[in-house]
Amino acid sequence: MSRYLDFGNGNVLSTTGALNGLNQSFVASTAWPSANLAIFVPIRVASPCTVYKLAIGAGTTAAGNFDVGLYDSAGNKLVSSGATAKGASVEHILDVTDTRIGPGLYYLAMSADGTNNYMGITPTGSSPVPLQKARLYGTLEMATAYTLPTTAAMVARTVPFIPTMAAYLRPY
Amino acid sequence: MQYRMPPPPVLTPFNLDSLGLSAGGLVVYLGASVSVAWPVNNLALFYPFRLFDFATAYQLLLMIGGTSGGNIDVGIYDSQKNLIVSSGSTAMSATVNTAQELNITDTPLPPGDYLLGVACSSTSGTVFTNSQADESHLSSYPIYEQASAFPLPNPCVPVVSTQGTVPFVVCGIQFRPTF
Repeated sequence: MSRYLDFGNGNVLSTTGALNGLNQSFVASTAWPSANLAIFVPIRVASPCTVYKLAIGAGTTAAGNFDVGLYDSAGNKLVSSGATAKGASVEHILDVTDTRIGPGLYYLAMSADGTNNYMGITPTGSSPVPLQKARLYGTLEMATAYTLPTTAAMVARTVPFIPTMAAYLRPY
Repeated sequence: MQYRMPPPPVLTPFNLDSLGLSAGGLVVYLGASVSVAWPVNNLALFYPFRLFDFATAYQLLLMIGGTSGGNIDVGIYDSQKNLIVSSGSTAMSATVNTAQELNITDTPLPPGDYLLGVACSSTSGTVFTNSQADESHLSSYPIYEQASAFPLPNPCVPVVSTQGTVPFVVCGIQFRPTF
């Protein structure tokens, strides 16, 4: 078996790693753009593996709930954490049902039920530049998507925020 | 069994499939790009990228800067430097600070090495770039150019960029129907 450009970093695929254009020094606690909005970040997998944890960063102030999950490129939800209460300035590394995936394009997804703070990146510049950059990273969104839907109708971004998320992988 | 990395939904020179690994190591990020005037009238710039799996190109993209001017052309070349598809000469969008979406015939591409070419007819036009000093960056990754190359030529005859400040232009290929 050959593995071309396994983008996993120590068997963890993160949005900052996958997009490779997000300077981690820009990660900050940021208000979720709007209640029930879901944001999808593309990640690619080069060989079969099993997803066994998902991670997000909670920003300041413990309030609200989130849902983090993984979708295939057709918008089908493969696994998610379900509704989870948000802590304050803490990472949430969540066990999920072990889910086997093959090589391909996937989307890490996150939605929140309010505008509480989560860790993420807003590309630099003055409007509309950050939004354009978020689109050039390949991110998508969906309104009215909390908790994460079984099937996602992903559309072009209207807000630039990109949450930091990660999927923990182990060999298939 | 051999597996292949699928293409990104939007490929830019900042992707790992292109120059992103070396560029990121030198703190060159798409997110930190800014508006800069096109360096030379009719100059074409070329960024190598690799596809590990089949992909269909739906649109070509160029992030327009704060001032619009001149015409642009964005295209894809094969490893033999033949032009596969391009937007052709197109007026730079008057809507500034926005990614200009250039529709092309949906073009399937097999795995292989390619060049993403971008050219502008006038230095009055601006694009988003992350420009860096040539000695520090051309020693780490190649960016190619060709003078008097607007619209994009077929074939191209690129040389390593001679610009003192190397433009890392925010341009790209959309490999899914939705941008």
